[in-house]
Amino acid sequence: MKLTRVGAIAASAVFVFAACSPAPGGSAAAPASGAAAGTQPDACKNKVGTSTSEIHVYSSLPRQGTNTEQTDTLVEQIKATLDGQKVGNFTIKYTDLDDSSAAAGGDWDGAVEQANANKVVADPDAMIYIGTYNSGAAKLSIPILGAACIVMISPANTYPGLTKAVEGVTQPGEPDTYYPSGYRNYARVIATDDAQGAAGAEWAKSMGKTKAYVLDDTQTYGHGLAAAWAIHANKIGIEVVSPNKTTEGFDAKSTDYAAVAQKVKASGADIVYIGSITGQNTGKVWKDLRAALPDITIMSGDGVFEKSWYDGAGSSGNGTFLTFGGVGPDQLTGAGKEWNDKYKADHGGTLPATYTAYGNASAVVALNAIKNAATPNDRYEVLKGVMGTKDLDTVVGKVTFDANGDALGGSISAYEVKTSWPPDFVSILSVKE
Amino acid sequence: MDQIAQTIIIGIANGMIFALVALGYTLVYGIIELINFAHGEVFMLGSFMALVLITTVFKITAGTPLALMVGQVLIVIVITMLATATLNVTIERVAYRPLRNAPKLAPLISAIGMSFVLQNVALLIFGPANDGVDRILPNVNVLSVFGITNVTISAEQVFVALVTIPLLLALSWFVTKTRQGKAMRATAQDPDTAGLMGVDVNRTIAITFLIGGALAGAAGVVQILYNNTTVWNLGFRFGLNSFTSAVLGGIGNLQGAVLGAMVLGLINAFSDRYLAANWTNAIVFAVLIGILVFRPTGLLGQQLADRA
Repeated sequence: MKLTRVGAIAASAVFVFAACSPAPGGSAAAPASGAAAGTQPDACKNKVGTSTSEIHVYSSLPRQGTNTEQTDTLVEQIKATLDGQKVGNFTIKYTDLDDSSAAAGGDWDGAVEQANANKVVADPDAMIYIGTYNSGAAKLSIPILGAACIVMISPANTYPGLTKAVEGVTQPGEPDTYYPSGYRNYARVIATDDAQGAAGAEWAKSMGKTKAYVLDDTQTYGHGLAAAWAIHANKIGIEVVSPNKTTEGFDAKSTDYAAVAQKVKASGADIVYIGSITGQNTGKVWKDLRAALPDITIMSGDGVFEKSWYDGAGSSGNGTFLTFGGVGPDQLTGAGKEWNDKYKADHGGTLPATYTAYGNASAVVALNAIKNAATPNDRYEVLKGVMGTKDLDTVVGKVTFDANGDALGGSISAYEVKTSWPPDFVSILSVKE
Repeated sequence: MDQIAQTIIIGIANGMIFALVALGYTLVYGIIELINFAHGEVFMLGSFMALVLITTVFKITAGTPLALMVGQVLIVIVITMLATATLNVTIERVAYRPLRNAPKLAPLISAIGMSFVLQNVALLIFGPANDGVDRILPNVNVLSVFGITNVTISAEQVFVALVTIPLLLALSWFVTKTRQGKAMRATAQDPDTAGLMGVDVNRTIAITFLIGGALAGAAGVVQILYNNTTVWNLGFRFGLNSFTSAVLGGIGNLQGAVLGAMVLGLINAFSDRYLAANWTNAIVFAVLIGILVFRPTGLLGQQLADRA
């Protein structure tokens, strides 16, 4: 009786804790041709809205946890750009959906993201889905929306495998596995991690670094970015000393990384690269690395490019080099600079978050596609408009999508955290695909 | 060899914090056979309380004179222990006592519910991001006094031991030598008979929660000064390890919880150091399953009455 009881308790505890973990991304759909929208796919036939006065646009972003620092500003921009706009006889109605959950620690939750996509599919007047923020979430919603001819525009997904195959970074079968309906319904306005990782490795090389230990949070974004960095570092002569010359995962649920830091110290690395989002216990990771290695160079990507990361890491975050897969708000030029100045004036001098401008650009792409569609409440017409976006003026510059839905001519910005937040701009890095 | 010694030191320091939290799980389970899932959250709120006291009330920094710092840290420990003990007793009174005679699953669900409530309270008050304080204790290698420089024992690690060991000894004395401790053991064996013998069962259970909560508060202070950071879901992370420690050592068994915590701290450290860090939880649970298969009552055996 006692044995059964203890065994059952342990098993149920494992079950409870496992159930509280974020759902792994990934979709096991059949491969597709991956062709861009050409002839009208079957999924897009007869997908005209039923309302004669409304067109619905949704966003699906994590609206809890550390993500709100970014997503509050994204939603504000999307709402200001789209909500209530008149296109012919139609008024655009925007709805802000949350794809995070408390059970996932305030980060994106696969079950919630799938529920959001299904909800939008069930609305006949839904034309565009702006999102997701996290690449793992996009893996789940792209095929669901694709089956109903709804186009997605992401302001923040940087994992390459959503749109293209990159050796050593993306998984076998990607990206076709996300497009089982045989056509592309996904575009993004931000540069991908293969470019950001490679640019970061080049930057480390230019600093004279020779030995690198690469860590990631095991999520789609963090692992992909760190793998891209490691692959490029190996190519250009930086010795990657983490196991198998690639990135090593750390467990975000762990209470302590002192032993991991000890391992990094013993490896003799002169730089640590970390691919992660803020919510994956990064404050503790930085503190433990800095305690064991006070002088080592730490580099990371845009997943931690936010004040909440610095608040958690404290002075351990000083001396961190950060890349951002776009242009930071303070470096925007032309219309972007005007937008940035107005934003600051409207928000008591507060700078926009890193992705805020890309949220604005996503909404502008959406509005442009609806305005130029022959029938603004026909999903296929709107989809063609989004995927065919060319030389569209936005606050982040001209946006043109290639056949994969990736924005052409992206930029990577380099920043250094000296002794406070925000970090100091260093330069725009050259993009090496 | 130095690396192995260093890894052992890291493992033991972490094990001591797990032990303080694990004792709260095992004390409560020993008395009323309830897994108090909210216990990790009491610890988390303790760490936030310590953070507020350190940074806002006493404004302790690395520059505070040592004697003053020791006095202030002692006051922080006492205040935090009192607060978390009160909180834990309140939880027992509000969420568990009304369900004392309900089926076993009812208080378990109530405990999970309390856990979520406390997490959300922390989220509401302190926000979603990590909150932290810069290193307060001196950045020294204590072993350098003995001329050892290739292995490090930090001031934080000494502090963990200085708080944890006396508390464990005091708890052991309380449970084995005092009248109230005897009442706790009697209630654990058979609450009905203990009641007939004049033990106030409700009071004894409340005192158990009081002690468990106080230990969680002490662990919260130790955690903040050792790790320098806390976050609203910290209780879940530590709860996982601490509850596992209690089961590993033999649930309901105080010495078992401490031993389990040390073993778990060491497995964590060695897995992080010599194997893959993202496999650590899998390795910990593989070891747990292995031990429970061969020693189903844990390393030192359960100390529970057979009520089957």
